[in-house]
Amino acid sequence: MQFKLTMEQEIIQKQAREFAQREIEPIAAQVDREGKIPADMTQKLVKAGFVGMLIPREYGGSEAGVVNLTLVMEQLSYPACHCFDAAGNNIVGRAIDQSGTEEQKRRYLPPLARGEAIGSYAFTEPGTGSDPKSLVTTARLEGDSWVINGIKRFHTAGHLDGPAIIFANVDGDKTTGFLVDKNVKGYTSSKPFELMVGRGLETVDTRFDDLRVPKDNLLLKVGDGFHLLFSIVDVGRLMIVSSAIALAQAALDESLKYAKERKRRGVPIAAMQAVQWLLAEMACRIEPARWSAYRVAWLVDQGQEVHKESAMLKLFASQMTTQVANMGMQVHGSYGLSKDFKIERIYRQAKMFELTEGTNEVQRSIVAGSLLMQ
Amino acid sequence: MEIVVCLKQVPAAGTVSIDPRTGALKRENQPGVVNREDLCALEEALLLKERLGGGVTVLSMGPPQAEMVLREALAMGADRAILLCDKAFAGSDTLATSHVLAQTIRKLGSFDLVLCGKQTSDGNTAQVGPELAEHLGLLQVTSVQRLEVFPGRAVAERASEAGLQWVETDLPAVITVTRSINVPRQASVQAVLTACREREVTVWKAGDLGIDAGSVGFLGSPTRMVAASQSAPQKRAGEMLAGTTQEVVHTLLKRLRQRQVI
Repeated sequence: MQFKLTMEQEIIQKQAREFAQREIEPIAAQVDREGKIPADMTQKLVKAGFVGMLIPREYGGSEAGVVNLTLVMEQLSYPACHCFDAAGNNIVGRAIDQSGTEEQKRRYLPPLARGEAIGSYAFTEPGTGSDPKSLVTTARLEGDSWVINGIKRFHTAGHLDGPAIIFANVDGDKTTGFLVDKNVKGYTSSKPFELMVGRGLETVDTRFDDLRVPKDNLLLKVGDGFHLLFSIVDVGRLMIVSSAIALAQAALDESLKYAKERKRRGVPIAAMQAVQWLLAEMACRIEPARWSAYRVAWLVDQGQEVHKESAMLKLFASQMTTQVANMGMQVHGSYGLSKDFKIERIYRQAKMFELTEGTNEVQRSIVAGSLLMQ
Repeated sequence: MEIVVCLKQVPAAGTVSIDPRTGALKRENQPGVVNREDLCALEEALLLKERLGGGVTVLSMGPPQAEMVLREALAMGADRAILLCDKAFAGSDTLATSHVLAQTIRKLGSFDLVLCGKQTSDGNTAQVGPELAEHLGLLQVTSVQRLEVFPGRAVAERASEAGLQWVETDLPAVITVTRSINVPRQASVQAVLTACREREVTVWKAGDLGIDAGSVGFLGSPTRMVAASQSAPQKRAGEMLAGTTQEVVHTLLKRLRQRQVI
């Protein structure tokens, strides 16, 4: 057992840290305020190589692996600003690589690796969150095409050109994954949601009205949708957790800085035991979450199934982040309410991790289900 | 054009501490980064290579983990990397370090230019570049912030206390650069993977360089550390200037003149 990053991992982590400091930190508050990502951000991410990390080299990616991607996501998330979607193309690219046909890989992976296409995936619907049994989007085969009807909710990047993985039921209850080209006839998207968090990375409703998809655009077989979904969300949760850990670390760093500067009766508040205990608690909670995340990422790179582990991790790390952000607010006192302080943005965004990619109640159900099945 | 670039791994900013027992910098388990000005030297070498062709060889003397800075350099575009790593080198001062670097460059054979950062963020002596030039018997230009290279000669703009100087030198020469010369590129993930998984870093020891162990390390270093202490950065109280904009500007100019800043 070796709890140490390799030289390669250290360099990639450092590259991502420097990228975040140079390209994201200076615009973070503005993106959060205005909700708009700079137009050239995707190409900067592509140039740095952060977009095709789970895509094989023969299709233009780097095959860097999930551990390296986890390290990158953690660093890119540190400024507490959602002005990138490096995870989307990586996750969709990985799913196509693992579950797609050679033709699908040749068609979709190179533009995803180059950032010319923005990948996305959508399971949630207006009437269902994470309950697979309530899915109402349907797909029926007509000649050489699948005809899809339904609505997907909270579809991140669902309005941006590129492939989307859409889950729909065939013959009643056979949940199946389809590769869909966005913004074609029969595919419409709503205006982006006005969200409390994640401002910058836009999330929409997408609607399919007799959307015709070539027969071959199926991923895996009819009825294999859940297998595909799990392989996507397991890595998706890991990406969420990487961001959550970064936010918690940012909360600690901001609190340390503030506690050393802010004085009470001429003495920095860092000298007060009440503040020291908060800082210590924050650090102690971040550390296990980070190493658990690296372990789950490593398991994925070893080809192991991590459905239970990723749910445990997401439950633990997202709770940790809201707790740590809350403690950070306590350290800042009333100043934490001001948008002039980064902790305000961190506190507001922290809640997201307990809700997206399956609420924490869903994670508990997954973990309990796995325990009871053993 | 064949260019040699010297790199040093230094502690990342904010992680430097001093061992109270030995008075030396504590480097164990500290995150290491490439010294910023050395990175600028490498960037300048890569820009020259892109314009004039040739190759870039990077050297670093240090412990085994200094391999990391060489892998980073390979990812940025260096062609060859050599790690100078030997227990005999430990404790080398600038004289001993420049001796090792000079022996390495001699062993490499022909070259047109040696580029170094002006100084490192840990030692801050700015001595290695000039000493290296003396060891090699080469011309040197220090503190360069702009560089033009032509066949057999270079024109450098250097910053000095007296102002700017433009210096023309024959090549080969040793040139040390400041951080204002360029903004180093960032290697992509793909390039890092290739550098770490597929490229070679050659390791040379004292014996490979024909160096007598007594001429390097603690034994070969005339510098003696008498005492070292760590002090927190002093913060001075600021002063808010009051009045109209015109009054504030007037007062500010007056103060700056009084202190001979302008």
